Amino acid sequence: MLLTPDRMTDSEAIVLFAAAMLAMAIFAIAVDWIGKPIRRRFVPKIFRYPEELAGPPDPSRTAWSDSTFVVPENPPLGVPIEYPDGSTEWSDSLFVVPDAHPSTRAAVLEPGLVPIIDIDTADEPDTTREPAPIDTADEPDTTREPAPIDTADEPDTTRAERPVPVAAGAVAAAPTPGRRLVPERSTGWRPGQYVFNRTRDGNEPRSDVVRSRFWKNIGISDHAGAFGDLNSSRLSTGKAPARRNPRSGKTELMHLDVTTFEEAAGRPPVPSWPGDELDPFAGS
Amino acid sequence: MTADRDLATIFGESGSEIITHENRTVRAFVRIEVPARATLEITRLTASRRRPQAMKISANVGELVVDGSRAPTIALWADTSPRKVLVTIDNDERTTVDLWNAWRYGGADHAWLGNAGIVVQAEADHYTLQCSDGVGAVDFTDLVVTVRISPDRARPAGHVPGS
Repeated sequence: MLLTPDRMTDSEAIVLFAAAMLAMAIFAIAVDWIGKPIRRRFVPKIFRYPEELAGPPDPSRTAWSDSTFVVPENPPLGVPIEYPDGSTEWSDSLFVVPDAHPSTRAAVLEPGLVPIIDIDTADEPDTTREPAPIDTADEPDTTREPAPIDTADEPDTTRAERPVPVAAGAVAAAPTPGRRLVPERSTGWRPGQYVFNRTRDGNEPRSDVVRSRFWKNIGISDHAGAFGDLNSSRLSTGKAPARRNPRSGKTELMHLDVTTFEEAAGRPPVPSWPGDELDPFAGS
Repeated sequence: MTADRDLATIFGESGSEIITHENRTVRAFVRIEVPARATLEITRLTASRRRPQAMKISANVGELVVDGSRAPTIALWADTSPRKVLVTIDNDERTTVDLWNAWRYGGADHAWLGNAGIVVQAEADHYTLQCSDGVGAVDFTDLVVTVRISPDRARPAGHVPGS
């Protein structure tokens, strides 16, 4: 029986509408199912954006793989030194106290670290290795009750604006093989100072305090920009840098494995991002 | 108004892995469909001397085989790897691989920070990936590689090793 609008009841109209929608859905599913084998043809997604073109690289700004490198006499910090045998030294180590190069060149300390001293001769006065005297005029009163743990040895944020340029750009003598080198520690800490400095009370800093100090030091250094605009405020408050992993859609935090001063032999911790990629040519 | 914001900020605000920057499509990473047992020929055209650059490659299914090493994700660093590297995808079915650039700074490997991004140029038989690392201004010449995909004709699908 053919139903016409003037003879349909409300219930019949609803049933007819539902049947029509069902038929459309079945048709769409069928089209989608039939279309899948077609779409399985290998068409790289990358071809969907043929308009992408950045233009040819500018040779004056890049190092072409086949170019002849010239060894600079005084390379600026952060620029790799290319040796005649093709090996390269990257000198922009920010997190690791650099070991002296096998050559006679001295190692350069990164900003915020006190000069390296030889533990065997620590008691001997050596004015050339003394860190710059720290102005303690604005140090908190140590006789007062200790503040809550998280901020016990952290400086007042109103005072944290002025970093202390301890040993910035200082040059340490090349270490003697077989002798253990540790940085010198002070009591109290302000941004720019050694992360393993003892607390105001003379205690060992907790690992979370060392982490906070580490990120604050990065935040006031010239290297803070390397972490992007989004991380500047995080670093200034002692938080680890964060990034969005576009593959997973999740936010990742930079990991900082902190041990004690003795276990680390005085070396600042080295941070790392999540990931376990294999470098098949490592060591080659 | 993108001059005041770095690419990571724009990526974050867009919630997408593809953005437009100065009339160019910039990606946070590149995903390529590849047939079973395909081989990627990665050729490094240029790499910045300011800091080590790397191309990271990850198979979403299966493993990658490079120079006898096998892993789901590999990193080809400009200061250690040859200019041309063959990467075989050990998977019996069609899959996808992701590629993104990384750099070493301050003793740590970084990616997806600051002004990092990739501009892709599709050629007739390969793709050119022009990568900017995250340090400093946008510079899509920090790392430039080509990716050429070829099926593994020596081992067609269904081939049983040793038969």
